[in-house]
This record gives sequence, structure tokens and C-alpha cells, in this order.
Amino acid sequence: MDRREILKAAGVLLGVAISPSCSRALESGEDLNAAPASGELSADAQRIIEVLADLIIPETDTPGAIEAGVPQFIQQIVMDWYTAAERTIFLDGLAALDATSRSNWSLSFVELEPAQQAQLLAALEPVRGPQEQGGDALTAIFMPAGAAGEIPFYLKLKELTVLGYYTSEIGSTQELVYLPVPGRYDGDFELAEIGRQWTT
Amino acid sequence: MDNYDFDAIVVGSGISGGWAAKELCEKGLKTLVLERGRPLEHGAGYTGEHQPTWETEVRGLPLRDLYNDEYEIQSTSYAFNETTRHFWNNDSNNPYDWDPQHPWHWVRADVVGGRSLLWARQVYRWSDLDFAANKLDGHGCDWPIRYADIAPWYSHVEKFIGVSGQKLGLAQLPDGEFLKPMELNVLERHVAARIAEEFPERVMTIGRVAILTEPLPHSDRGTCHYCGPCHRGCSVGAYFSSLSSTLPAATATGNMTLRANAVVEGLDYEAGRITGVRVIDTETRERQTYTSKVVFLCASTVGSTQILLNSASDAFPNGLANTSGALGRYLMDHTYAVGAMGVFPGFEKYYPMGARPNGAYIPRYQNLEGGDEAGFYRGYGFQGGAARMNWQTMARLTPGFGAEFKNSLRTPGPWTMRLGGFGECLPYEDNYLDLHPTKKDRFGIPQARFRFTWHDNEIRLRDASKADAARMLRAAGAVSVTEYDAQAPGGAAIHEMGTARMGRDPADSVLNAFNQAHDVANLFVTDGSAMTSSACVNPSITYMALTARAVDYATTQMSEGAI
Repeated sequence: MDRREILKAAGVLLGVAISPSCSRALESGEDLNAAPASGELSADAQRIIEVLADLIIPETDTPGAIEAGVPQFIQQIVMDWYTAAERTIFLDGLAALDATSRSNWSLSFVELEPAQQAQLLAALEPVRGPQEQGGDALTAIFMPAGAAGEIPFYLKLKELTVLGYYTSEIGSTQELVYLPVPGRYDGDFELAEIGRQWTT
Repeated sequence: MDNYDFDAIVVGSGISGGWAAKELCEKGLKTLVLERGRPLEHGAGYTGEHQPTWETEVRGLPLRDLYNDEYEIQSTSYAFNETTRHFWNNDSNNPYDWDPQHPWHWVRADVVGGRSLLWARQVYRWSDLDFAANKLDGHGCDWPIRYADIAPWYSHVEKFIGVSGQKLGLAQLPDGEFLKPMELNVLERHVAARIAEEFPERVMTIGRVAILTEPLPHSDRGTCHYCGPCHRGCSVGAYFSSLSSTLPAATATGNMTLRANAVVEGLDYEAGRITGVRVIDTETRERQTYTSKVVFLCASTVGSTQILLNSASDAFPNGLANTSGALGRYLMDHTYAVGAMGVFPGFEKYYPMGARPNGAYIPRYQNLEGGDEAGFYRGYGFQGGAARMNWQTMARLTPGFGAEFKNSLRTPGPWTMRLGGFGECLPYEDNYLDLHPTKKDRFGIPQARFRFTWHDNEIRLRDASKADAARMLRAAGAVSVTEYDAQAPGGAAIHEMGTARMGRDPADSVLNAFNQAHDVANLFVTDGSAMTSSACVNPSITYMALTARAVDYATTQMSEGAI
């Protein structure tokens, strides 16, 4: 068994070992998600979010955003977690995207060909000047969680898609390497041994 | 027991209270431990331990409405989230006089074990550079002890709790009884070597932490498995907490009675002695007074000071044991959340395995002879570490989307290293806490109020630490370096101390050389409030050592009939 297989096996074992916390959550009878939502997204908005999440993190040799439940996560954050002002930025962004689609092609965003959808999304990418890497990294590290605040639609969308994906069970265990109890620290461990990031 | 309910009462079950309980019980004293927080069981109470993010509420994002309404101060801590919230104080249930005009963060737990569950576990001995500092430069009153007085007690504590670290032979940071050190990673070792070349008087080492890297002979606590977030609780007990370590030892003697949900309102004083500890049950509001031969206040700096201030009487109109007027004054914390971060090219082959709950440490190197040669009095050390940027940071830095974007996030980003300065704060009379004249909590206890500002010396020292951090990172090969200063308010480092200080003279201090109140023979205060100066290192181990030493003294005095 090579190291990758060992880790995979360990992950499976540990997955079993941590199940008591799952059962505790079930026993507690708490379903915080059942709190009344501020409102549901329209069916149209839900479909646009699905398309966008899939564009940002598609299925490759691992499952993509759709299978990982990212659209539902985005809906939860936008409708229940975002403030009214943040929600407005997000929903206005969706609406503007759809409006551009209709004015350019007389079709709704979800009816476009994937290449056209990607083209519209790419147009929202902020133009980045020559970056001072350290300052940029610090800004990135300290960006508000969930892209809260005045951050524009595109960055909110991307942040929520990425967060929803890499913290999902699929993202954490299939795209990344999930090893909740490593058992040791190796400061000289070589990336080639796993070839991807640890789940953090 | 001569009409006493107990031989000893300990107020608080955190780092200091746990130690007082263990030492008193092991010396055969029937001991009552009072804890204002909720009961918490070691292991079973750690409901967030190893919980994967996908099982947490909103994937680890803060519950903003709840935190704003009920955890406004506590939620500012890095260790506060849904995996730990059940350990913390609810600010609306147990408020203090939070005043944005006079910002002070009182960060505290609300369970048995107190902040020993949540602490950052860094332990550094003080040296004579610290104990002699006040006398040498004239800020604050002289410590009534020196390193030689406390050294054996540091050893006593370290052997029991388990401290991993590297011996360095530095006078300003004495070595201790160490378990094998954790390791620096590949970039940290490179930076350490470059710093040693460029700045021969500076050393970078692995942090000294109260975490087991090998088993302890006297204990069945497990060794660290490098899962990372210790503050969620560790059911194998790899890091020191009251729950994993001192309280079980106290329980094993059969001498301890632990009562949770019991907030102490005040102490009764009569004819030179504490004659009662007045308690309110936080659930039933029932009041009760307990008596004992000796009382140890270990309720934290603010908690113990608040109790003494709220125990004023005709004999002590300004607060119990406060003939000196020092009670509540000389409040200190460390300068915090200031430093620099750099990005390092190279080393892409390496990607550390395991979440090491510890970092790198650079001990103080300024003003090692005392004085203010460096442009300020006292000094600072650095805590930091190197890691590769993770998917979250890289996603924010990587333009575009789609398969290429996803695949680029599969591997970690460049290495970064951060160095954060922790600077000493001088004791100032005008930095203080007192009782708010009208605001009370739900038990009718006056709320603590804070007046604290960073003075010029702390600002100079903080700026110098920031510049030094940047200089060291550049010298070590960082391609771009950013300085940061979050302007953390007092209390944010959670190293608050000094408001019932030890001293030689009853005219300017509350406690003597053995943490005994100058004014009251059977009253001892052994938490952070006893500290006469703040040094620049994490203070908890000094509270533990002072506590064990004070118990030894108190029990000797009791057996000789002096208490």
C-alpha cells in the first residue's frame, strides 16, 4: 500500500471514528436549518445560481459544485445569513446578469450556451493591476468571511461557491485530503506524497 | 473542622484555581472549589472536537446576529466559533460595562475549567530580567520575589502538566523541564538560520507548549495527535487544562468538593480574617455563605478584583484588603496583533503534514541589561509560523473560474511566514478597573468598568516590534513583506493582569511575597491580578507556579497556627 492509499484508508477509519459527533447532533434534536427563511429565492434565481456554481467549480475527475450541494449553500447564505444590503448586492448581480443575457441574445441566462454563459461571467472579473504579492495576500487572507459587506456580486458569488465546495463533505474528502487525526507532524513532508491540499 | 465548612475555599477552577485545588487537596485539606460557570465533563463536554466543517452550522461562518447580540466581545477571539461557543461567556447574560470610548476586551469562559480549556498553551518562564525590571527602571513597585524563589515551583508545575520545548540556555528565557520539542517546519528552519546569521543576538525556536509530545510517568493523558484546534477540547487530554490535569488529581484525593453555577458575590471580613464566602447559585439564585480557614481567590484578574472591590466594609471602605489603594489599579495586558507577514519563494516541494498546535518563537532580545537603550523600556518577543496558502486564500488571489481554476486550487499556494510581536506593558496607576456605580448584573453584582490606554512606551515598543518583524522576514528572503497593526484594545491578548499586585510594602501593594493579602492573613490571591509587572511572555505558567508556592506557604502557616 502506498502512502496515498494508507491515508485514504485512515480517512475511512477516522470517518467511522468521528461518527459519535454526528449521532450527537442527531440526538440533540436541533435542526437550526429549519429556522424560517427570510424568503426563498425565485426558481429563476435558483437556476442561475446552479449554472454559475457549475461554471466556477465544474465536475472534473472529482465531483463539482452541483453534486456537493453548493447551490443550496449559496441560497442559505444569501437568504438567511446575508444582511438585506448584502442580499441586494447579490440579487441585483444575478438580475443584471440575466438582463445582459436578454439584451444581448434575447434569451435568459440559463438558456444560453455554456460558452456564452462563461463569457458573461468572465466579463465580471475585476481587472487586476500589477500586484504587490504580499499586500495582496494579506488582503486575501483577511477578506471578510462569506464575502460579507460591500464586496461586489462576482466576488461574493465566487467566494460562496469556493467556500461551499471545499467545506462540503465531497470537497473535503474527494477534492482535498481529509485527515482529521494525522497522528504526527512532519514539517518536511513532500507535496508529491499526496499531490493535493489537506482539508483545513 | 472547628466549625468551618471546609479547610479551604478556592474561587475559580481555571488555570490558577485548578492548581490551588490540586495542591490544597494533596496536602490533605478539605477543599471547596467554587466555579461561576456551568458544569463541564472532560471528554463528553467537548462536542466540537474533531467535528468536520460540513457538519457545523453555516460551515464555520459566524452566526452574525447571535454573536452581535450575545457574544459581542467573546466572538472577537480567534478561538470562538460554533465548535467552542458552549465554553464561552454569554456577554448579554454576564455583562461588564463595555464602553467603546474606553475599549477593553474582557474575554472569558463560563464553564468548569475556565480559560484553561481555551488558552493558547504557550508557557515561558520569567527571568530576573523580568522580576528585577520594576526596581531597575522605576516603573511600578519592586517584585517581592526573584527567579530563585520561583524556579523550583516552575519545575514542579512543568513536570506535572507536561511542557514540550527546546532548551536554549538563554538568561532572559530560562529553560525548563521539557518534553521533546515539536519541530519547526522546513521554511521556519530556513528563516531561523537566516535570522541567526543576520542578527546574531536573536534566536528562533519552536514554541514551548503545555502539550504532551511524550507520555508523562504519573498520568494517563495521551500525546498530541496533531488534529489542530486544541481549544475545542481534547478528550485524550494532550494539552493541559484543569479538566485534563489538575482537577482529576484533586478529585483523586477525595478531598475536593466542586460546585459549579456558583458565583461569588463577596467575602465577609471580621477581626482580621475572611469569615465567609458569599455565593449565589446562578440557576436558582439561592444565596449561601461558606466558611473555611483559608480562601484562595483564583477567579481571574478581573474576577478576583471585582470580588474584592465588591467586599468593601467599614474596615475596608475602598475594597477588601485595599489599605494600599492599589486594588484595581496597574491593569496590564500585552501589545498584540501587530507584526509582519512575508511571502517566500521556493520550498514548493514541501507541504507539512499534521496541524501543529504551536508555532515558532523568538525570545526578547532588546534591553537585555534593563534600561531603555532600544528607545523604550522592557521588550517584546515574537510568535509566528510558516505555512502554505490554502484554497481559500488562493481562490481569492486566482482570477477566473472553471476546470483550470479548480485544478489550480488542488495544490497549495506559496509559503508565507508571519511574525507577531507580544510586548510588555508597564504598570500605570491610571490604567484600572473599578465597579460601575449603577450598572449591575442579573445577580445584583456591580459590573466591572475599565479605563485603560496604551501609553507612549507601549506604542513605541509596538511600532518597533512591527518594524523588526518586517526586517527579519526580509533578511530571511521574503519577496514581499506587509506590516500589520490591528490596534488591538487592552484585554485582546487575554493576558490581563496586575490589579491586586504583589509587593514588599503594604503601602503600595495588595499581596506579599507569598500572594497573601498584606491586610488579611487567611486570604490569598494567586491569579493574574497578583502580577507586579507583565514581562512580554505568556503569563499562565507563572500563575501556576505562584499558586503552588502560595499553597505550600499557606499550609505551612496553617500547621504552625499562624493562619
